[in-house]
This record gives sequence, C-alpha cells and structure tokens, in this order.
Amino acid sequence: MRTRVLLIAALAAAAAILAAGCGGGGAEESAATATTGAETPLPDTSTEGATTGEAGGEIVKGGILRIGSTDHIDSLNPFVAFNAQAYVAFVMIYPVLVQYGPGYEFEGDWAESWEVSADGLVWTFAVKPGQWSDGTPLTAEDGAWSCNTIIQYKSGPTANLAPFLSHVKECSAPDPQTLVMTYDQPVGNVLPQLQQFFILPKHVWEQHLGNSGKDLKKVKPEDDLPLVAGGAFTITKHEKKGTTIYEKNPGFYGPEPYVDAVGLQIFTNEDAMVAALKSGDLDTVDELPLHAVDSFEGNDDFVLERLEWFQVNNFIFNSNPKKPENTELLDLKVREAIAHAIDRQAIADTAYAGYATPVASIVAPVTGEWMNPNLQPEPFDLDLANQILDDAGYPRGSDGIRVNKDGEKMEYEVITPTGVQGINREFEVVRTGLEQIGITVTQKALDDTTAFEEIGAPDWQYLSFDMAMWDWVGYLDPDFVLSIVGCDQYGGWSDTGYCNPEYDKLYQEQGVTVGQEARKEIVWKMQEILYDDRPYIQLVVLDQVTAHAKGWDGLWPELGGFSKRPWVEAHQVAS
Amino acid sequence: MRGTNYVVKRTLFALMTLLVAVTLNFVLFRAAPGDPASALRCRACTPEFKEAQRKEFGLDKSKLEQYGIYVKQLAQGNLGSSFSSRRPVWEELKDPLLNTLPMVALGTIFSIVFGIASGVVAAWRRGTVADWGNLSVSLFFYSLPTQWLGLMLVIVFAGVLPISGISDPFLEFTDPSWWDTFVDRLKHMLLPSMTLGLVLYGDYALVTRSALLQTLGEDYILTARAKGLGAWRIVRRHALRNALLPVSTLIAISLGYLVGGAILVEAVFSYPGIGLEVYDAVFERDYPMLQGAFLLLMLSVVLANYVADLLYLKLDPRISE
Repeated sequence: MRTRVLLIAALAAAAAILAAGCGGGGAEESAATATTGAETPLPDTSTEGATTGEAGGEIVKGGILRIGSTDHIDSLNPFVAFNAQAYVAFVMIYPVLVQYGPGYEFEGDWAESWEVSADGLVWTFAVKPGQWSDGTPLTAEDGAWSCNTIIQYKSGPTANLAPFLSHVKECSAPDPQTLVMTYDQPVGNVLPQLQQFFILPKHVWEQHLGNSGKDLKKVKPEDDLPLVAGGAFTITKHEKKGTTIYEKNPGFYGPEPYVDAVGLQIFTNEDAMVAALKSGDLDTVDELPLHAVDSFEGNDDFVLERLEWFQVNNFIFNSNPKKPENTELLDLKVREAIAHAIDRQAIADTAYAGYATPVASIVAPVTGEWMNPNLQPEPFDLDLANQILDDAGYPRGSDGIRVNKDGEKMEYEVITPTGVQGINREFEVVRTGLEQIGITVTQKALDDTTAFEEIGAPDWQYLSFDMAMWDWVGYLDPDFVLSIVGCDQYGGWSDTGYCNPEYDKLYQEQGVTVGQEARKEIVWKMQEILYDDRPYIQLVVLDQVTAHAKGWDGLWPELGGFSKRPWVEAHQVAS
Repeated sequence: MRGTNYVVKRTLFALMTLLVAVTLNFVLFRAAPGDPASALRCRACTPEFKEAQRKEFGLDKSKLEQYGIYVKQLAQGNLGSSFSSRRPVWEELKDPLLNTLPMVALGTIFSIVFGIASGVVAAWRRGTVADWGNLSVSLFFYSLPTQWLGLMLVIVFAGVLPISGISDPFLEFTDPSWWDTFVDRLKHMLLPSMTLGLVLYGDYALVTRSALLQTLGEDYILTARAKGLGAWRIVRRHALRNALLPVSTLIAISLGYLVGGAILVEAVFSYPGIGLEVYDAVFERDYPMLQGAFLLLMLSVVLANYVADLLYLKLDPRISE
C-alpha cells in the first residue's frame, strides 16, 4: 500500500482524492483577467498504414496491451469506488474536461478549449462532439447533469466526487457543445480538480436518482456490460479480482487508440506479477516492486523507467498538546535531535534499494515549484543530536537511556502499519539511530486500519500514541497533502493530532489565491511551518519504477491515472 | 438404538456448534479495532461523512440491536449486503466459492490418492529405501509453509503453466470452444491445486503409514500370513481397511478446513476464490462479508466433522456402545 490510507482507501487517495479541495491555484490559471486554454492535440492515428512512434519505430496498429497490477478496481460505480485502479478506469472510459499532458501541462480531453471570466467565477468549456458507446450522442447536457447531480447530493451519495467540484455553484449547457461552470468564489486549482470530474451518461444514470439520490450508490455498472462509456474505451469484461477487458469505443471524440483492447490483470502476489512479465504473459506492469528492479537490469527484453513519484515516507509525532503522557515529545528540541539521528540515506539504500531520496517536505519534488527548495533534510549527525538533548536537559541514566524531566526513561512505542512496503527496515534504521542518542523505541506493527485507529485513540482525540511511521502519496497540486494537517482533519486525514490556526489560515488563503506566484509563496510558507513544528520528520521520497516489454512504446507511465494519452498512444513497434 | 442415540447426539452437537459459531461470528470481527467507516479514507470522509456511513450501515444502533438484526436476517437466509460493494453477500461469495471448490477438490483428490499410496508403500516396505524415501518426501512437504511452496512453484513454472488468475483473460479473443475453455480453466487450477495437494499429501502419507504399521503388527495379520495369503491381498483386504479409520477421519476434517486453507494459496496465485474475498474483507472491516464468508467456512468445518462422526459409526460400530 502506498498511502497511509487504510487498505482500499489507501491507493484511493493517491489518484482519487487528492486534487480536490477548496483551493489552490494552478500554474495554468492566471487571476483577474480572462484567459483561454486549448488542448495540445493528440497525434492523429486515424490514417491507415505505417506511422512513426516517438521512439522512431514503425507503429503497429492493433493487438492487446496486457497490463499487470496489484491494485484492483473495487467498483465501477464512481460514487462508490475508492481504489486508484478504479480511477484509472474512469479516466479511460469517461470523458473528463481536461487532463495532464507531457511535462504535466494541462491539455483538453473532452474540452476543445476553455475560457474563464474576468472575475474568475465562470468557466466556459467548448466540448467536442462524440458518442456514448451505445450510440447516444455525448453532449454538454451530460456534463451539466453530472455536475449538478454531484453538487445536489454532495453531502451524501455523491460525496466521493464532490471535492472535484468544490465551490461550483451550478453548471449549464447553453448548447450541446458548450458547458458553463459557475463558481461561488474564485478557486486557484480549478483544472487539477476538473481532471477528476468524470462525465457520466445522463440517459443511463438519471433513472437512479430515487431515494434522495441514494440509489446512485446502488448502481452496478459491472452487471450490465458492455458499460456505456464516452471515453476512449468501454469495458466488455470485468472480474473484480481477475481481469478487466477494455475495448475501443467507436464513438470516442478523440483519436482512435492504436491497440484493439487493453487487458488489466490483477495480481495479489507481486512476485507472481513479476514472473508473468518476465515469462511474456504481460506486456507491462503499472508499478514494479522495488525489490525486483535489479532482476531486470541488463535484460534487453525489457525497458525500465524510473520516475520521480509522490510517495513521501515520514516519521510521525503525536502533536496534540493535550497529550497526557511522554510530553517531552512535544518539545521541539527533542524532535530536532531525533531528526538528526535518523540516517535517511541508509533508509533509501537499505529499505528501498536506492530507489528513494531523502526529503524535507511533504510536498514531493515531482510537483515542481510547489516544493519549497529552501528546506533541506537535517544532516545525519549523532554528535549534534546528542548535544541538543544534553543542552535541552535530557541527561542519560546509568544504563545509557536518557530520562525526561520527571526522571522517566525516554522509551517509546512506534506504530508501523504492515501495509507499507519496507517499513520494517525503515524502522530498524530509525531504531539504531535513536539508540545512539539514548532513546529506546520499540516497533508496534499493526494492520493499517488498526494502526490508524490507534493513532487517533481514544475516539479521534489523539491522546494515546507517541510516534508512528507511515507515508503520504500526494498529487501534482499540493492542496491535498497540505490539507491533511489541518485542525478540521481530526477524525479525518490527521495522523498527527497537529492543529495550528496560523497554518489553517494560510491553507484557506492558498485555496482562493488564483495567481500562481502568490499562491506558491503561501504554499512554501506552510511547508516551513511544518518543517519547524515537526509534526512529521519527512524521511524519503520513493521513486516509481515501471517496466514494459521492448516491443511497446507510447505508454506514458508517468501519466497513468492522469490522462487518456497512455491508452490512446500505446502501441507495438515493428521489430 | 444405540446408533440412533449417537446420531442424535452428534446432530445436536453440530447444531449447537453452529449456533455458538454464529454468535462468535458477530462478536469476533467487532472486537477488532476500527469499523467500516473508520477504515474509509477519502477527501470527503469527514467525521460527519463517517457518521453518516455508520448510520447507513446500521452501526449507529446498539450491538444488541445489530445482533438481533443479524440473527433475524440469517434465519431468513439473508446474509446481508457488503458494506464496500453494497451487493448482497451471497452474490459476492457465490462465484468465488464456485471458483474455490473445484480447485480445492482437485488438490484434495491428489493428496488422498498419492498420500495413501505413499503411506501404504512406506509401511509395507518398512525399513527399506522405499520407506525412507517416502517418509522423507512426505515429511518434507508436510513441513513446508503453504505460501512458500506456492511461491516456489510460481518461480519454477512461470512461462510453463499459468501462475495467476482463473483463466486466460485473452482467450475470448480467439473464439474458444468449450473444450478450450475447460482446458484453460484446468491449467489455471493446476498449480494452486498442487500446492494444496502437496502439503496435504505429506499429512495423509504419514498418517496412513503410521496406522498401517500398527495394523500390520496385529495378530490377525499374522494369521492371514500363516494362512498363506498374498502380500497385496493382506494389505488391501485386512490391513488397509482397518488402517483407514484414522485416515478417513483426517480426510473428513481436512475437507472442512480446506476452504479456509485456500486463503494463502489464493493470495499467492491471485486466484479469485473465497479466500481472497475474506482477505480483503478483513482489511475493509466489511462485517457482513466476513460474517457470510466465515459462516460458510464454519458450516463446512462443522459439516465435515459431522460427516466424520457418522462415518466413524459406520466404520467402527463399537463407537456407539
């Protein structure tokens, strides 16, 4: 599991949830003045005959792209689904207005172009003509209906998708190719939000609005295949823990995919997935287990791609000031000393085979300028760490273990969720470092749900636990990872019990700051506050490594859950 | 009459066991920290949203009320609806169960046939290379962790036999005949079945050997030999029949546990059976799914034990005395 989420929701978070929220401005939007966006055209694949792919090889049309993954589609109903794999499916089968393109720049998907009013409240999208896979025309009315339905039931049945339409007041379709979205206040990260606003077929879903919208959650698209899709593909076969077959939607508004079909195969055992890739039963995997990467080195049959990714692993302190015991852990000097006693490079090398990098911010470097470059990981320096603790008045006892101001030994439990790969080795590095500064920690390994409960105990008041280790998987827009330490996240995302009104104020501010530079300043300031207060010590950011068989190209692994490009452009190359 | 009393007693015992199991089924999962709502993590999962979810799932009611609803539903043959998929539990479990059963059956048949054969050879050739070889192999497989053996088979047979799933996902593109489909299913079943079968095989072989050795030392075997009966006839007609008593019990009991034991195998081979459903439901704290799945598992265990009890009566009538 790659987020700190509890199982299902874990990955869910990664792709699903994150971009949402009530604010944040994107690079692509500028404030106050009317701006216009337009798509970067996808390559035209409609011409028959040989064409040339990015890698320069001759494109072979047709065939099936076989993908392996360990994350399954938990539901094909967008109002119910949580898993990241489900959100990848929705990107493939449903129109979205905009998507991420090369270099993580926004480009149109269903939207041909868009413009925003001078006051930043009205966004108008010109959408492409297309058809749902059952032959029904795809129009802006579908977009308006999807939008208004999500808004109408946002505190109940459609809550899953509501964050992607945060602050939208209403949507309308003045004509079949124009969708107008009206916001109740200017919002900085409109496009990152809309990248996960899936347009549903009105003629299929409007009959399920009964029971105050609750019937929407009872819809089982998987029971009625082929699914009515408006995106590049439709689903013709779906086994929850088995295989999902995507076949081309002939009415797709965009370029025709090169492949005839995409087959997603779910593995519950990552070693079996690796073996299937090596034996030729798969063409690619969405994520290669880091321990298996070395076994592909020097293998000419495969292409490995190492990507900067979003998972930041961290060491957590209970930061609730009302915490009754071991209150010395609230002392910032103790946290600073601990930060100097953790050898982040050793974690990267031993727990993640070198496919990780020490970091200082929860905002991952892959987000580009959103990460505050002025923050650097504390150097691993045991002498300095010992000195800080000595100066702060935590002397060593006769057994070498330091004592707090009440004379109690500095011995603590560290909660670690079993769902995080490499966490045991990561803990060992931490334990060894802390031992050398006179602090004893023992590991308390728990399944993810239980670990999160223990962190929030009792009853989400964050009073019991001392320390924990976990990870966060952010998103390209920093709004999500910055939101998790808000005071309003007690009982929600919070795993620190941290609450800082000044930080919350800045969070709200960045949410309505439309100018990128202005927003960036606020976002950097928020990261500085977290760095100084240390509810977390950020440890390492993990790379994502993917592998595919040499005969394939155009897979765009970095755009997996963000764009239709990987599915439209994937193709075999003539040998 | 004594036999009837025995059957009635065993039947009542089985029913009581089920009743206790039904209650334990309810209590056990709720004793674990967290609930389906707290396990949910999403941007919209505010404390208010989670509370609404608890209400929707009926978790806001008292435990006693929940138990009453659970028992009432159960009495009507209703296992409830999965919290995560919102589908009826039986619908969610039906297909995985149908996937698991033939795979488990194949493994069991393999283990019984080879286990008994191996045990017989070892006992009859006691002290020889055949005995030593059979004993070593049986002990070896018996002591292997199931999931480790599965992983080894994955590594060894990758590219030769299917190592995951229940069928070739792309077979349908070749317009397969029913025979192609059957063969494909069988191939996918082979490695998980063999994993189960090999581990169980050791168990059966060891028990058969030990039981047979005991009966081969009995006076009536000596008598049979003295009568000049052939070796195979002595084993088949006199020794093995008596030796099979503990083996048949073991088989019946193992059958019950096999459904549960498939969890590990299914996880290794990504085999979409009931074990995988249980695995996910535990993390999701999906109480109705867990209750439904464990009820099935308990039913199979209780039923297998019940059958073993009745079988014993048939095989050894002294038991009713």
